[in-house]
Amino acid sequence: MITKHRPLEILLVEDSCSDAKLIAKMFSLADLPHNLRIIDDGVKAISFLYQKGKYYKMPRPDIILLDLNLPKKNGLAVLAQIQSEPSLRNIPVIILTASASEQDIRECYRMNANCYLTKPSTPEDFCRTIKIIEDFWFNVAKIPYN
Amino acid sequence: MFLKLPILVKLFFANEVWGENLVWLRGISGIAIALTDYFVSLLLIYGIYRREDRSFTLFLWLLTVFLLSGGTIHIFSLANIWQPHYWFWGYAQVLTAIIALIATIWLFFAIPQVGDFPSSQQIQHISNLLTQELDKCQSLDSKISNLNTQLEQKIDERTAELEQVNQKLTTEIEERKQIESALYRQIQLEQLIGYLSHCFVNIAPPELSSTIQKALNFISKCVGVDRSYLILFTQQNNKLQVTQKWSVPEFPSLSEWEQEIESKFPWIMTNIKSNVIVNLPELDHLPTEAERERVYLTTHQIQSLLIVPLFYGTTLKGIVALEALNQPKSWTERDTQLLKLTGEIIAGGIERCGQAAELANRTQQLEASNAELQQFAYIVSHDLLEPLRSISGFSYLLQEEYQSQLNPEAQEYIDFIKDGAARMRELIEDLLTFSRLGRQNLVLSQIDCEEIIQEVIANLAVAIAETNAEIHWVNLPNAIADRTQFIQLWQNLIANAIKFRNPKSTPKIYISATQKSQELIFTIRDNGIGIDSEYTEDIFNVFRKLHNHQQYPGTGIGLAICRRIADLHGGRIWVKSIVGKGSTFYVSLPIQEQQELGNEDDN
Repeated sequence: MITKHRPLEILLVEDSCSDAKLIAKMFSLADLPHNLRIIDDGVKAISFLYQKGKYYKMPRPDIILLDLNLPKKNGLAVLAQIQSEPSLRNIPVIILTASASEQDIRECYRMNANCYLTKPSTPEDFCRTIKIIEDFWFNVAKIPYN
Repeated sequence: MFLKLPILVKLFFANEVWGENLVWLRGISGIAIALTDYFVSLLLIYGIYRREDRSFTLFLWLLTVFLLSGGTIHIFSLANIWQPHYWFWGYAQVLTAIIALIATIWLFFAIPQVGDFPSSQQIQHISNLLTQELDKCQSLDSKISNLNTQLEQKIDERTAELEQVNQKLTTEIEERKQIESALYRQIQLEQLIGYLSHCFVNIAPPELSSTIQKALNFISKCVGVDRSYLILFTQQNNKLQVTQKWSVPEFPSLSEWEQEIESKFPWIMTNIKSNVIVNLPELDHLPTEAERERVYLTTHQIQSLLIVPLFYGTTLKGIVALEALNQPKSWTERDTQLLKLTGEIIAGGIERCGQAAELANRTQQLEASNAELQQFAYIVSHDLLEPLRSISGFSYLLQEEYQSQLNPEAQEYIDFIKDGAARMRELIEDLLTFSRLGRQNLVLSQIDCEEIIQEVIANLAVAIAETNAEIHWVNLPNAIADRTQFIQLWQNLIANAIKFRNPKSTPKIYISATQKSQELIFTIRDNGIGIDSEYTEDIFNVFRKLHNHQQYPGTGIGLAICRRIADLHGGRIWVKSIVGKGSTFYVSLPIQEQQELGNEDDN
């Protein structure tokens, strides 16, 4: 449960514009004040997190939704960077990817991803999954809130 | 009758008692008796000393003394005529009497012995007998000496014979020894050849080098040479190029065998290329055209050389060479044979190794390309899902959010889009499953088939409930299989049995298993619509469908997935069916593999 002195900051790292749009749509349907920032490659994601360049005014996210298959720097590398940085390490990272590879799953958990979800292929299931994320991470689970 | 002696003598011989005549008589007879006595006694003494047997010696001595004293008595009795000293005569008489007495006593005791003395006739007889015996003895002697000569002759003959036999035996032993040593060498050779062929028959490319080295060691030891080496060539641009070299011991001057070997060793290479063995017991055997070889051999102090070409089929693969350095060695037939045989074995091994390496290479390439293809299929299907998600996602959102603004026709169009996207998703997901089957390794374990069926039934609960399908099974055994794949297999088969049910009756599915000698066969029988026998093989291919999507929705990959799973397990899948009555699908798993894997599993 989140105490709402301010909208929840969500960082979505997703290169598929349509997937990002769908996810955004799903979140918008939920009754939760939030800011969803969409970043479409790994390098930009790192800059965003370090508030570098044009992202210097960007807030530190409360939760990160990370795709694995990203241009320039893939999701695993981004995850590794987050985990190596003490100031970022306590941000929950949810992997949301099309890959169901056992190797990816293992690798992500090894690098302390907080949860690994595959993108469902039907829109109905997709909506359900986003709903579950909302329910669990924003309503049930306690996350650090700065 | 007496001579008229001078007066003096008359006077001397005559006295008043004895007349002259009587004195003469007595004197002459007395002297004669005395002389005779002395003479006989001297003879006796002589005889005593001459006789060797000395029998009767005492008696003879007594007789001698008796005669001497008898003679002396006569002398005294003569002397008494003129000088009457009778005591001397008396003493001589007493002595004579004593001796006569002793002799008589001795004779008395010796008479029996004396009686035994053979008479001269007897002696003559004995002598005759002895002579006869002697003659016999002599004849025997001559016979014996004769026999002796014969014996010696025979001994000589036998000795000669024995010597002959001995020599024959020695020769035979020598021959035997030679045969034995030849046999031993033959056995040794056969063992060596056997060992080498064993080494080279299934040789793996990484072991080739060490095995050739070992073979060279063996050959060197077996033939007894100072150096052996093996050189491999390849034919490039009609020229032989040295590719690899081995030598025992390490041979620095082997660098000569590096490049341009055809011009360096023209005579050797000509021989080798025409499959002729180069057999050089001495350098003198080199023909005049082999000048370069002579220089090479002399420079490297090589006394004898034996080179055998390595041919595989008609291709020259290389050479094996033996060298004697310390002293010339004449190569025996056995040496050349051995080298030739081992050469053939090694050439075969090298060729097989090359083939194995090539095969491994090709297999690797094939595997790589296969993996690439599978990866490609996987990525393609995977990447296709992303735009599909857009299509289905936004058509879904369109319908959800703008339904009120759309006319029924637009609604229908959106339904088509959604339906098309759904089918495509199904197709891609099946393709993904199919391609994943080839990419992932089998994770084999002992699985309980009844438990698998129960899990499948749970997965298909909705369809089973909708159709009231009945599923029966009896005594399903455990099997060694990939659990996930096996669930997939049974799920596809049971789902098909439900999908292709007879519309007029409730679906009934029977699952059983039988154990044959070579395989474990599962059967799944249904009472569905059945399959035309024409298509019983075709249906296992990807995208093969016998019905349109409206009648029976599906991708046509399900049975292809089943077949691949069966293939991956080393088994088979097939179907027997009667249209309208139902189908029976069979899935077999090889038993041997089951046991082997089962054992591994136990371990």
